[in-house]
Amino acid sequence: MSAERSRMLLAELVGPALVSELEDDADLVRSGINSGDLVRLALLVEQRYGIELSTADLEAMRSLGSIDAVIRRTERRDAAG
Amino acid sequence: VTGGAVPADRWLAALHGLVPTQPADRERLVAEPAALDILGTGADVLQELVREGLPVVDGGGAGRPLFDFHDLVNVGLYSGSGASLGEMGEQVLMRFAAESPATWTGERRWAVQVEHRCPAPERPEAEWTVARPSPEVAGGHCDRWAAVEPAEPGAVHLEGVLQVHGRRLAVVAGPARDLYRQWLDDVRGDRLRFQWLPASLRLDPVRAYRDGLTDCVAASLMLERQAQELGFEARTRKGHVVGLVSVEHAWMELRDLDGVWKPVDPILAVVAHRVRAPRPEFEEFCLGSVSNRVIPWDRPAGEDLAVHHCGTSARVATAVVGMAAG
Repeated sequence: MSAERSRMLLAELVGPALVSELEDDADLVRSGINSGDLVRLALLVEQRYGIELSTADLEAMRSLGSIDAVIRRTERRDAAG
Repeated sequence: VTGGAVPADRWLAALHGLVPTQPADRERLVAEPAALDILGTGADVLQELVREGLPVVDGGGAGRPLFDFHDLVNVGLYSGSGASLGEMGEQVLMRFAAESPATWTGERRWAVQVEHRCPAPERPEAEWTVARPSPEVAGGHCDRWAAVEPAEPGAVHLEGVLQVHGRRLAVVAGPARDLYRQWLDDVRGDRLRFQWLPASLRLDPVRAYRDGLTDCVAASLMLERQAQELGFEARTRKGHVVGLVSVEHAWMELRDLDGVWKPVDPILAVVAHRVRAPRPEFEEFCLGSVSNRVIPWDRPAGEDLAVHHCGTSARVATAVVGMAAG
């Protein structure tokens, strides 16, 4: 599965140039994404997808791929009620 | 990220409640782009705040206004926008307090990487004295803590894997419990205002207390004095609250009637309340218990986590540059 959803959101925050160089499984912090942008990204995910992330979800958000996986998992969880 | 339409009067109320940083305490001035980033809002709001009295410093006659970093953070903190720097950090780091108490305790493994950087090294090759995480104070352990090579001039990177053991304890000494309750009342009421404080003020807890201000460092240092006046053995400890990101924290510890050292941390309880309704148990949890999302260091609240013996008086900047839950 691709990480298009988180890639699009991160591009809004830091610009498309940096994001285009990121592999789906690259560690975001080690790739130069600062903590402020990481927090903004998490809150943007909640806002855009209307989901509420748990602490465990937040801790799993280390790469673009893992963020999209969290979004999918949370949507399924919310849909299941 | 936007916090939605926050009415102008919310911003002005936040400004009017601000206790501004005294000029002698200022650490960092920022220009408008950074100011907007810290506030998480647009230029129109900043202009209104300036009109209403947000302190502005002349940026060297070039017509470029500068703003105090702490003033901006503290206006944002009370704006209710949800999009300011301080609010966003609180939102992600403190939401665990609203989750099941069962998740606060037990073993958690954290991979941590820290960078210490000397801002003005006279001799980049000089020796370092560095702090070490000390999860063993609460039954955890640090598997390894070592420098990562190669180090850059004037900087050192250290990393390790920590096993943090959260456990539920309770302070039983009545006077200590009363002291904790008094702090909660003072910070939630009008006696003390929680703000991000510059180092010169947070390390002078009597002045901060007299001025009606507190943060985690000022609170822990003042609590230490007050607990000692009550006859307790007391000390402070520096730490980090960890999760998606991390933030530096500090608290007071006292030796309880049963001989066990226990944390007393009213600021963590107050900050949890600022974000969203925490579990009711969290307030009691912060009086004696140890969270598995707080990493303790072997340093007291007022001390830096690293010293570079290069001859400069500049303080070393420490940042957690890597953090992962195991």
